Amino acid sequence: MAAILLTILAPLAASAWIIVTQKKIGYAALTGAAGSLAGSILLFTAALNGAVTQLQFAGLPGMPFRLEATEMAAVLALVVSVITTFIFVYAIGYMKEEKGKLRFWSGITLFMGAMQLLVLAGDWILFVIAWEVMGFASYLLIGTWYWKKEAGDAANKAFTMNRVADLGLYVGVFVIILAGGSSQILAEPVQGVSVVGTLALLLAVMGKSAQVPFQSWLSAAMAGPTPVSALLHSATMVAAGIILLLKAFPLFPPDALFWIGLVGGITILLTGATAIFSEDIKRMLAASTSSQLGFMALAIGAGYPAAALAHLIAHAFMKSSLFLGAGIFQHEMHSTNYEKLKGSGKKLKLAFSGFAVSGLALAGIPPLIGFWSKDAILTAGLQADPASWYFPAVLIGAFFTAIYMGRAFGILWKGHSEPEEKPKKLPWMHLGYLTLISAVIAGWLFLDPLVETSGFSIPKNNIAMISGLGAAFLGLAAGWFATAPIFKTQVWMFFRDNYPVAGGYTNVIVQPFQMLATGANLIEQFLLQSVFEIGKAFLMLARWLANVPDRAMAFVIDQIGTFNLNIGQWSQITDDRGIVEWIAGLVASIQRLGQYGRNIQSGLVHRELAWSVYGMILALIILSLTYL
Amino acid sequence: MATDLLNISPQLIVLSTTVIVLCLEMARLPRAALWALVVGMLTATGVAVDMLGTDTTAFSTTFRVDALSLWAVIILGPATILFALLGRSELKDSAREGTIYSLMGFSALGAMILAGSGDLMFIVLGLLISTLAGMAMAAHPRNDPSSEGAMKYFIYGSVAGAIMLFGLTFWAGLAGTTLISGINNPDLSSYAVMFGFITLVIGIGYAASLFPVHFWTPDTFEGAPVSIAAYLSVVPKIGALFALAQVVRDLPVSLVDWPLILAVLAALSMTFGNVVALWQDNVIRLLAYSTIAQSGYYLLGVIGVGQSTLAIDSMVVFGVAYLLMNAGAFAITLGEGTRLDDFKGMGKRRPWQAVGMTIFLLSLVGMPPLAGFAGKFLLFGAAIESGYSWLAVVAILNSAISLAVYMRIVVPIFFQEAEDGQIRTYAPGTSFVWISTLALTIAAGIGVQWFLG
Amino acid sequence: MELLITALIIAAVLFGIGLYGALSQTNLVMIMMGIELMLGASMINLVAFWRYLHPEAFSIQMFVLIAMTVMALEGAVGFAIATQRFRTSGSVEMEESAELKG
Repeated sequence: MAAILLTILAPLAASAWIIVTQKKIGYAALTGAAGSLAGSILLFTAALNGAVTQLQFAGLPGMPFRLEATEMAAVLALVVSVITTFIFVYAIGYMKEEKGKLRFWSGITLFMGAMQLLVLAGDWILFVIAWEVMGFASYLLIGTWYWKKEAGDAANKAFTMNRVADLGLYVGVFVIILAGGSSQILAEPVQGVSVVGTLALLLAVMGKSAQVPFQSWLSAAMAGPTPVSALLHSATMVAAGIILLLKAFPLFPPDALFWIGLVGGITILLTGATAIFSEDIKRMLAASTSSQLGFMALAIGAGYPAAALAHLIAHAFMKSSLFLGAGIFQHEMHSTNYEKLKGSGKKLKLAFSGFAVSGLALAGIPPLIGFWSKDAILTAGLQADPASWYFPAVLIGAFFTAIYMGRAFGILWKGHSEPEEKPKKLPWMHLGYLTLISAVIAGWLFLDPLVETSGFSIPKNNIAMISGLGAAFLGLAAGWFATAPIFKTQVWMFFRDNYPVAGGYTNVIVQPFQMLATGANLIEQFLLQSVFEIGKAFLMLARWLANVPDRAMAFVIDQIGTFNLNIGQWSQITDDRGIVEWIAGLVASIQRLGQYGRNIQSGLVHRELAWSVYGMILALIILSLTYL
Repeated sequence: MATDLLNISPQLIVLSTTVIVLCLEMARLPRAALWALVVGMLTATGVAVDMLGTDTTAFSTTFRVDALSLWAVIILGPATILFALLGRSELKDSAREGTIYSLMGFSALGAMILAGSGDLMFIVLGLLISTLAGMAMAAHPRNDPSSEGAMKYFIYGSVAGAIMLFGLTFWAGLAGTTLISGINNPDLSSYAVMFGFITLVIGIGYAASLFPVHFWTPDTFEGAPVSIAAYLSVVPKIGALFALAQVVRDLPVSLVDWPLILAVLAALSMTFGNVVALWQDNVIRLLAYSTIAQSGYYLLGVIGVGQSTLAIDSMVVFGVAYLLMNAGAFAITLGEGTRLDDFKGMGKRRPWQAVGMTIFLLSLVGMPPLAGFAGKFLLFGAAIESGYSWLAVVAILNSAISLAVYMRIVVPIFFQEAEDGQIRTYAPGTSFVWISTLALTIAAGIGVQWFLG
Repeated sequence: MELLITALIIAAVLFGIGLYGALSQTNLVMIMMGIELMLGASMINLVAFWRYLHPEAFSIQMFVLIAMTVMALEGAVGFAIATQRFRTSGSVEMEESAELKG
C-alpha cells in the first residue's frame, strides 16, 4: 500500500517542492523519480509473488476511487519509472543552459505523477482524472519555451485536439459505468457495453495516441525540449491511449475490434509514409511514433493484447533512446534538419552508434528488443481470424520502418560536414542515453518475463519472423542507398506534410459554424423587418404566381451554376487547408459566433426583453410540436 | 404544528438572524451585524447538517424538508458568510454598510424557501424575496453604473415574474390547487400545463440567469460591487434551480416534455455564455457570462431528476463546487481589479494568488482533480443516464471552448508584464475567502464522498 | 362557463396590453405600469378560476393575496430604484441607460 502511494506521490511531491522552493530543482525532480522507481520496483516484486496491491478511498458518491497494482499495471509502472528516471538524468544535462527550467521541471514531474496514476488507476474516474491532468501537464511542457510562437501554437494545438478527442473518453466511460453498475476497472467482460461505447473510447485513443487523423499534434509538439519529446513519445502520453485499450480490452464486444484494427492499420501506413519523407530528424521520429502505435492498435484489434503490450514496452525503450540520441545531435549541431546534420555521425560517434542500435532495433533486427516485439505483432497479424489484410499491413509497415531508419542512418553517416567546434562533454546526457540503450540491447532478456508477469504470453510464429526479417533488411538497404532527390519530388510533399487533404474537415466543421453564425444574423434581421415584409410579401406572391414558368427555368439554371461553383470552391479549399487550418477556423468561427451574441446584448432593456419573449414563444412552439 | 416548526428550524433561524442583523444595523453597529450574521448562518447550517437524511414535509405538504432543501441551507448558509466577508472588505465604512448583511440574509432566506418549495406560492414568494433583496444590494453604491444595473435587474425581474405568475394562474386554476404534488394531474389540458411550465422556466431562468432571460446578468454584475455580483451569481441561482428540480420531480413527461425544453435551454445557455465570454475585456463581465454557461451545465442535473440516480447528488456536488470556485474567483478579482489588464504580471507580483486564481479557473473549466470536475462529471453522468447523451456531448464540447475563455485571464497573469500603476491590497476578509475556498476546491475534488457523509 | 371564458379573455387582453407596455415603453415608470397590468390580469384569472371552476379551493384565494403582495413589493422597490436612478443620472429613460452593454 505504501509502495503504490510512493509510486504516485513521489513525483507529485517533487513537483510541489520545485514550485515552492525553486531550489535544486533538477535534483529534486530526480529524487522524486527515484522514489517512484523504488515504489514501482516494490510493486513489481509483489506482483512477481502474485500479490495484487489495492487501495480504496473517498471518491464520487457510490463510486469510490481505487488504486490497483494488477500484474500488468505493476509492469507498466516499472517501465514508466525506469524510462522516466533516465530521461530525467539526461534532462539535467540538457536543461543546464536552457531557459524555462522551473516550468520544465515542475511540469515534467507533475506529468510523471499523472502517468503513474493513470497506470495504477483501478477505477474509471481516477483514470479520467489522470488522463486530463496528464493532458494539461503536456500542454505546459510543450509550451515550455512559450516565447517562441511555434511552441505556443504547438501547445495549444496539442491541447485542443486532445480535448476534442477526450469527449469520447467521457462518453465511453459512462457507457461502461452504466452497463456494469460500477466504476471499477474489471478484468471480466461486462454485458451491454455497446459498439458505440467502444468507438467513443477509440476516439479518445486516437487523440491521445496520435492516430490518423489526429496525428499532427504530435509532430508539432516537437517544439518543446527534447526530453519532453522523448517522454511524450515513449512510455507516457501516447502510450496512455494503448493502456486504455489494454485496460478496457476485456469489455470490448467482438464487433468493435475491427474498428480498432482499422484505425491502427491506416495509421501504420499513412504515418509510416510521412516518416519516410520527413526532412527533419525529430519530425521523422514523431511520425514514426504514430506509426508504431498503429502497430499496437492493430494488434489489439487482432485480439492479441500481449503483442501490443510487448511492443508498447519495447517501443518505449527504443523511442526514448532515439529521441535522446537526436537530442545530442541537436545540442551539438544546433539543428534537427537533415540538411544540417549530414555526416555528423562521423564526428559524434557515441551518439551515432547509440542511435544506430536503437534504430536497428526499431527496424526489427535481432537480437535487439524490437525484433521480438515486432515478431509478436506480425504473428498477431498473421493469426488474426477474420481480417486477411492485417498481416500485409503490418509487413508493409515494418518495411516502411526499416526504410526511414535506413535513410536516417545514411544521412547521418554519409556526406561530409565541417565540425564548428569540438564536441562538448555531456556526462549527464550520455549517462541517461547509454542506460536506455543498454536496455534496448538487453531487451531479449527481460521482455518475455515482463509480459508473462502481466499474465500474457507473446505469440510467436516462424513465417512471421522470417518475413519480418526480410522486410527489415530490404528496407534498411533501400533507405541507406536511396539518394536525396528521390525524397524531394512534389508528389512526396503530400505525405511529408501530414496529408493536407484532411482539409475535408473544413467542410465538416468550419462551414456549419459559419452557417450558424450567418443564420443568427439572418434571424435578427428577419425579426426586425418581418412586420414590414409581410405586407410586401403578399404583393410579391401575387406577381410571382403570374410568371411561374419563367421563374422555374431561371431557378434550374441558377442552381446548376451554383453547383459547379461549389465544386470548384470545395476542391480549392481542400488544397489550401490542412487540419491546422481546421483548428484555426474553429476558433475563428466561435469568435464570430460570439460577436453575434454580443450584438443582441444591446444594453437596452426593452429590446433585450423582446428577445426573451421571442425565446419564450419559440420554446412554446417547440413544446407544442411534441404534442403532434 | 410544533413538528412543522421544528422541521423548518434552519429557515426560522436564518429569518430571526436576519431580523437581528437588521436591528443591529439600525443601531449603527455594522461590525456586530456581520458577526451576528456569521453566527446565525453557522447555526442554521449546523442544524441542517444534523437534520440531513430527513425526508418529510411541513405545513400540509406545502414545504418540503428533503435532501434538496437541507443541502440548500448547507450550501447557502456558508455562502452568505463568505460573501458577507467579501462585502465587508469592499464596502467597509460606506454609508449604511450593515444593510448589505441583512439584505444578504433575506435573499438567502428566499433562496432557501425556493429550494424547499412544495407549493407554487412558495416559488413565487421565494423568487420575489431573493431577487428583490438582490436588487437593493445591486443599487447600494449610489452611482451611475450600479443604478443602471439595478434598474435592469428590476425590470427584468418584474416582467419575468409577472409572466410567470400569469402562466401559473392557468396551471393552478385548472388544477384547483397550488400544491406542486397536485398540479401533475394527467387529466389536465396539456396546453395549460405547457404554458404554465414555460412561464415557470422564464421566471426561474431569470433568477438562475439562463438563456434567453440572462440579459440582465452582465450589466448588473458590472455595475454592482464585486462582492454583490459574486453573491448574485451563486445564491439566487442555486435556490432557483433547486426549485425547478422540486417542480419537475413529480411531473410526468407525458404531460409536458420538460426534459426536452430544459435540454434545449441548457445547450443554448452553455454555448451562448461561453462564446460571448470570449470577447470580454472586463473580468466581471467575463465571469458573468461564465455563470450563464455554468447554469446551462447545472440544468443537466435538473434534467436527470426522477430519471437518474445521480441527479440529486450531482446537483448538490456541483452546487458546492460552484460556490467554492466562483467565490474564490470573485474574491481574487476583488483583490486585483476588474479589468483584464489589472491581472498582468500577477504571477510575479503575487505568485500565491496567481496560482489560486488559476486553480479556480481550471476548476470552472472542469479540470480534474478539482471540485468543478467532480460536479460536472456527475452532471454529465446524470444527463447520459436520462437518455440525453447528445446534451452531454454538447456540454463536454462546451467545456473545451470554456478553456479558451478562462485562459483569457490566465494568460495575462503569467505571460504578460505588469503595467505601472497602483497595486491594490487584499483586505483580511478577502484573503480568508480565497484561501479557504481554494483549500476546499482542492479537497472537494478529491473527497466528494466524504463531503456527502 | 361563459362567464369564466369572458373573464379569461378580459385578463388575457389586459396581460397583452401590459406586456406591450413593458416592451415598448422606455420610461421606467411606464414600464412599471405595464407590469401592474400584467399582475392585475393574473389576479382576475385566479379569481375567475376560483369562482367558476373550483369554489372549494381556498389556496387559490391565497394565491390572489400573494399576487397582491408581489405587486406591492415590486412597486416599493421599483420606485426606490427609480428615485435613486433619477438622483444619479437625472433621468429614468431606458434609451439613456445603455452604458453597460456587450
